Amino acid sequence: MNILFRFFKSIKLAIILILIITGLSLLSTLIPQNMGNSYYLSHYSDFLAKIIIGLRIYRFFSSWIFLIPALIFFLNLLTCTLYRFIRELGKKDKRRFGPDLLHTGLLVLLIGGVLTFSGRMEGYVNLREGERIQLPGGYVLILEDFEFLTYENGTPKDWISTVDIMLDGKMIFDSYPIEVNKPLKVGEISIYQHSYTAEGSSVLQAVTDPGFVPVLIGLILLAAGLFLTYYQKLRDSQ
Amino acid sequence: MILVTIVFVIIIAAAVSKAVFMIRGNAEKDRYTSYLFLSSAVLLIISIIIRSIQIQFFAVTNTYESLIFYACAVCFILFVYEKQRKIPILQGIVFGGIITAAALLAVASSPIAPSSVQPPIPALQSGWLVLHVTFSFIGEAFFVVAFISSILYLTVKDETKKRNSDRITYTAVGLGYPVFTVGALIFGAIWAKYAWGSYWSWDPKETWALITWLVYTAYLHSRMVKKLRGKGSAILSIIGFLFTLFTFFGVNFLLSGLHSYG
Repeated sequence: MNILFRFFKSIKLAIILILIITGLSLLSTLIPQNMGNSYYLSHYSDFLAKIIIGLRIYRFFSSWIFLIPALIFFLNLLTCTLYRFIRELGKKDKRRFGPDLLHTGLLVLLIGGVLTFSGRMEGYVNLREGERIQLPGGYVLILEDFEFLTYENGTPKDWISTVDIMLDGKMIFDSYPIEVNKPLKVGEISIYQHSYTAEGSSVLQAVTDPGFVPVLIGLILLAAGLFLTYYQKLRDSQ
Repeated sequence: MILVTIVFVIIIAAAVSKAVFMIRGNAEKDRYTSYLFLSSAVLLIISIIIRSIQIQFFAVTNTYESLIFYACAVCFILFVYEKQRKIPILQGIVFGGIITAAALLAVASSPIAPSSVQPPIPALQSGWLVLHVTFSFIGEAFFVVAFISSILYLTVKDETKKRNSDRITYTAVGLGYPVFTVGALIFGAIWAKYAWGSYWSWDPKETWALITWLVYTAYLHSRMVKKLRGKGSAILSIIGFLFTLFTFFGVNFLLSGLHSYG
C-alpha cells in the first residue's frame, strides 16, 4: 500500500504521464480518425494498418492506448491532490489551496468527460415548415418557420428555425427562434440549429449530455483554482 | 491595410533602434524604443476597430484578424515589460519580441492569411468566440516572451543573466498560462457547446491546443523537480511555443477539421 501511495503521489510520475499523453495525442493527429478499415489498408503498409485497426488507433481517444495512461494519470492526480490538501491543512500559515482547487476541478472535468463519453446522445432531423416530430420525454416539436438569412454578398448570415414545443397537449415554447449559437433547452434536451438542406428544410440537432454540467463545474473550479494559485503566490512573495 | 503597413515600418524602426543601442552597449539608456511598441499597439487597435465596424462584429474571426490581434498583444506586452522595474529585462528578449511581432505582421500580409473583408459565418457569431480568441492570444503573447527568454537561458553564459532569463520565463508562463487556459480551453469549450452542441470533439486543432497546454503544464511542474529545473524547463517552454505555432498555422494546412476558418 505504502509503495503504491508513494508511486502515485510522485510529481515525476505526473510529468512523465503528461509527456506520454502529449506524445501519443500528437501521433494520433497524424492518423485520420474514424475512417473505414479499407482506408487504412490502402493508405498504410500492411503492418501499420494492422496496428491501427488492431489497437483501435482509428478511434484513438477511446482506445486503451489512450485510456490506460489517462486512467493512471487520474489516479496520480487524485493521490497528489489528497496528499497536498492534507499537507496544506497541517500548516499554520501561508496555506495555499489554489493548486488543490485547480486539481479538483481537473478531476471533476475528467469525470464529466467519462459521463459524456458513456452517456451523450445526439440525433439529427430534417424538417420542413409545418412538420412535427416527437422528441424523447414526450415533447413534440413543430417547425413553424425556417429562415435563411444572407449578407449582401450572398454568404450565410444566420439560419433561424421558429419552433413550438408541446408537452401533453400544452404549449411550452410558443414560436421560439432557434439560431446557430443559440440553442433551446427543453428538459434534458438541447436543440441546435445545425444546417439546412438544398430542398430548403431545416436540419436540427438534439443533444442530451449528462457530462456537460460536471464538466462546466470542473472548468469553473479549474479557473478559480488558477487565479487563487496566482493570488496566493503574489501574496506570499511580498 | 495601410495602417498595418505603417505599423510594420514602425516595428522595423524599433528593431533597428534597439539593435543600435545593443551594439553600442548602452541599451539600459534606451528610453525611447518602448514608445514605438506602444504606438504600434495603439495603431493596431485602431485598425481592429475600423475592421470591426466594416464586418459589424469584433474583428477576430479569421487568420488575418487573429494575427493582427496577436501582434498587437505582443507589442503591448513588450512595452509593459520594458517599463516594469521588478525584474531586469534582458534587451535580447525585447529584440526577439520585436522580431516576432514583425514576423506575425509579415504573415498577416502574405497570401496565407487572406485579408479580404468578410462578415462572419453563423457559427462564429458568438461572444464566447471573441473571448476565446482574445484570451488565447493574450496568453500566447506571454508565451512569446517566455520562448525568447528560454532561448537566451540556453545560450548566455553569464550567471546573473541566466538567473534573470529563467525568472522572466517563469513569470511570463505564470501570467500566460492562466489566461491561455481560460481562453483556449474554457471559453473554447463553452463556445463549442453553443455552436456545435459538443464541448469537445477531439478535432485536430482542439487536440493540438490540449497538447500545447499539457506541455506548459509540464513546464510548470518541471520547476518542482531539481533535475529538470533550468535546462529541462527551458526546453519545455521552447517546445510549448513551437506547438502554439503549429496549433495556429500547421493544423490549418496539414490537418483537417472543424476550425477551418482560423
